[in-house]
This record gives sequence, structure tokens and C-alpha cells, in this order.
Amino acid sequence: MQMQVSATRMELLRLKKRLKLAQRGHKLLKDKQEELMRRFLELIKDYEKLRKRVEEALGGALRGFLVARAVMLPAYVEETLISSQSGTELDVSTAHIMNTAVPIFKLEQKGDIYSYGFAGTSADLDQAYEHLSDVLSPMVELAEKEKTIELLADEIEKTRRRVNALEYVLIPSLEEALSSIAMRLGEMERSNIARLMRIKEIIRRH
Amino acid sequence: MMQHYDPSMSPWDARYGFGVGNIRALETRLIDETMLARLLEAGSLKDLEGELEETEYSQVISLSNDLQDPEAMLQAELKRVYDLVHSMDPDPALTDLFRYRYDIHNLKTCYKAQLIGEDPGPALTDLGLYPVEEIKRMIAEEDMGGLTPELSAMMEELLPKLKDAPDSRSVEMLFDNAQYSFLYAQAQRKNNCFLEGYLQFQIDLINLKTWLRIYKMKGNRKLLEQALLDHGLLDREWWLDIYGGGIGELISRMSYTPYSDLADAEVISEDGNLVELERLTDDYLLDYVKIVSYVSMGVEPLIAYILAKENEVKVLRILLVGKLNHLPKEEIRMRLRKLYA
Repeated sequence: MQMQVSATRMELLRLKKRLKLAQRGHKLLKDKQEELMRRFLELIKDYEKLRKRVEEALGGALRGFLVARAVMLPAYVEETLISSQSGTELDVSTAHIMNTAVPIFKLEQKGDIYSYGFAGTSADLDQAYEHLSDVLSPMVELAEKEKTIELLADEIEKTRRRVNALEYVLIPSLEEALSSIAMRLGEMERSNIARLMRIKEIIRRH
Repeated sequence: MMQHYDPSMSPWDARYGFGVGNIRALETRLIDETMLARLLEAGSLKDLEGELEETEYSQVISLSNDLQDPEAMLQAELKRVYDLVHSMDPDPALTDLFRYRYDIHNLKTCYKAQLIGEDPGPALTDLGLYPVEEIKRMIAEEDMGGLTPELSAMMEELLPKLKDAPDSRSVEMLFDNAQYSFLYAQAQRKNNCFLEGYLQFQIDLINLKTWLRIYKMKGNRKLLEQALLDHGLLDREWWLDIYGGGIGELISRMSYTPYSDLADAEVISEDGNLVELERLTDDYLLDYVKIVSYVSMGVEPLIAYILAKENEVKVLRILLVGKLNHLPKEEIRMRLRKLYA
């Protein structure tokens, strides 16, 4: 893309400053992109491990409910689910990774998870409730990581576009404009010298 | 091992001649170990359906939607058995007790649901003697007049205690205790040693499992005190006394009770499997029920038949739910109870 610029010394100086700024910005953005990528890949690794753990634990919990349903009348299992004595509090705050706001979830579980009597229920149900309670915290952690990954991916994409714009559009066009101004100024200088030499020659003849 | 009830001491009640004759014929149609092994080995639901067609379940199997919904079939079978026994019993006060358990469950569920303003929906069962809508109305209006005088008295006594209950688990435990006290009182009122003995064993075994479950949950003594049921052979002080001593104390003290076999079975330990214990306690109760085969005239064979069918339905539910959800055979097998037949 060719820039429309006036070939003046002032413009030359202005564009030189702009080029310097663009090159500095490019370097910074490139560093940011690299750091974001590094954090992103680390997060992906953690996320994969956590996801596997959560899926296994959830599978265990659901299997527990399934088995409890097999040894108890389904209505009895449903009845244990009507009310709960335990509560959860989710504290949501934000942290910054390379200036990108990412969520931080803090889960607090209160009260007893076993909100049913013992006479009509099976020990399988205790195990299912225990598994489900154990998996709640990793599930929230998983959600936090998933959202962070999503936000970082967006930021990486944005940064990549900016880096590319600087690297392939702005910096080359500034360099091109600078060189064209320098060439034009050089030409003007040369033509001025030629004109002066001609005037000097005419004066000498007379 | 167990004793407590001597079948030869059962009173001869000629009114039960027809009923007991019928029951003896029906007992031959119960699912036996051979059939259970065939059901377990069945490769597909179609094969399973084919095997069940040869049993009494053929009458209700169409309700199960090609076994995709086995619960509809199992509940229909239970209902059929309760109705059948009721029709054969000249004095159904005792055999109806088994259905009152579902009414008490419905009363408890409606009460809990009302406390939090929820609809009890699928947590209700229609296996009881009272329609679900009637139970909902009774709880909403706190009018227990429609129940039998005994059940109504139980609820009248229970309602003030429920109002002081701090949480839903306490509500549930109060209902559980009231239910077993009610059942035991009815067995005593009818002077039925067999059912009395059965309930005492059942209460002790529930208390044993409760003790272990609370111990494993690291629950406190107060919770255990609330959860224990009354009217067992071992009273609540017996269970509370040994709570501080841990599982070692429980095992050594159990050796002097009718449950010494369970103490020796190695399932009661710090890392013991409660699922296995549940199976053993159900088998223990079934062994007690089998004594009734020596009673030739009385309500006991009818009660035993209901208990045998309830056990059979439980075994089938484990098997069918396990098969439908592709649980490994070993996992299904470890939960299967003994059968009456």
C-alpha cells in the first residue's frame, strides 16, 4: 500500500519517528505473542490432564448413582435429591495475563453433602454423593481454565493480526514512503545545485 | 446364627388354608439360581426378554417397552403380588404393612417437598395403599384423618417433632424411626413373632450399616444417635457405647450377638466394602424368612412370599439396570442377593 505523503524534510522526520515507533511496537507485540503462546500451551497441557481427571471422576459418580438406582427403588433415590443441606459459594475475581483479564473462580462448599437418612438408602448412594462432591471443585477449576484458554486464544489471534499488520503493512509502507521522500529530496537537492551552477555560469559570462 | 423365632410355635390358623396352599404353588414359580444364572448370561436384551417370558414376569413384561424401562415392569409385578396376597389374606393387617412403607415414604417425600416448596414429582411411588394425590392433600392440610387410626396416630405423634427438625436429614431420620416403630408395634399388636423377629433383625442390620456408614463419613455421635432405629435386639445404647472404640470394638462385641457370622465375614473393616455387607445382610434376612417353609397354616407364608418377591424384584432390578447400562458381569454379580427359591 502506497502512502500519500508530501516530500518535505518535516514529513521525513515525522515518518522516521513513526517508523521507529512501529518497529518498537512490533517487537513488543511479538514478545507478547510469544509469551501468550507459551502460557497458552502450558494451560492446554494442564487443561487436558484436568479434563481427563474430571471426566473419570464424573463417570465414577454417575456410575455410583446408576448402581444406587439398581439397589434402591428409583423413587427412594429421587427423594434423596429433593433437598440438600450443603451449599456452595462461588467467588469470581479476575487476574491479568499479559494484560488480558482472565477469571479466577474460588469454590467453597459448606454443610453436609449427605442430606438423607440411612434406613432406606444404600451405601452406594454415599459413594455417589462423595464422588460428585469431590468432582465439583475440579469442575469449577476446569471451567476457569477453559474460559482462560478461550480468552487467551482470542488475545493471541488479535496480537497476531496486529503483529502481521505492523510487519507486513505499516512498516514496509513507512519504509517505502521514507525512501521515496529521501529520493525526492535528493532529486530536489540535485536540481537545485544544477540550477545554481547554471545561474553562476550565466553571471560569469556577463 | 439366628434363632428367635420357632416356626413350630406358630398358631394354627385354619383361615389361611386357601392362602397358604396358593402360596406354596406360587413359590415354585419364583426365580431360582439356575434361572438367575441364565439371565446373567443372556447376551442381549432380546435373550433376556425371552428368558423372562418363561417366568411370572411374562404377565407384566409388555409394560417394560422391550426391557428399556424395566422399572415399570418390576413395579407392576410388585403391585400384582401385593394385590394377590391381599386377596388371599383373611386378615390383611400384617400383609398390608408392606404397602404402608410406601405410604410413609410418600408422606415423608411430600412433607420434605412442601418444606422447600418443590413438587415431589418422580420421588413418589404408587405402590402404597393411598393414592398419591390424597397423600399430598393430607400433608398440605395437615389432616391425617384419611389414614388408618394407627398410621394417623403415628403421624399425629410425628408432626410436632418434625416442626422442630433443623434440616431435611433430621426430617428423614424421624420418619424412618417412626416407620419402623409403627411396623414393629403392628407386629406386636397382632402378636406375630415371625414378623416381630424379622423386624428386629432388620432394624439391627440397618443400625449396623448406619453405624458403619456414619463411621466412614467421620460423623459424630449425635448424628448416630439421631440415625439409629429403635426396637432392634441390640438397643441404641449398645451401638452408641462402641462408637468411640472404632471398628475393632464393633467386631469383638458383635461376636456375642446373633450377627457373629457377619463379624467373621471380613467385610466389616476400616477399608471393608459396604456394598458387600449390604448383600450379606439381605441374605441374612432371607435365611430367616426361609424358616417359614415349615409353617403350614398361618399368615407367615404370605409374609414370606411378599419378602421373597421383594427380594427377587431387587435382584432383577440390579441385573436389568446393570445389563442395560453395560456394567461388567462381575460388578453385577457382586451385588446379586440370594434367592428364596
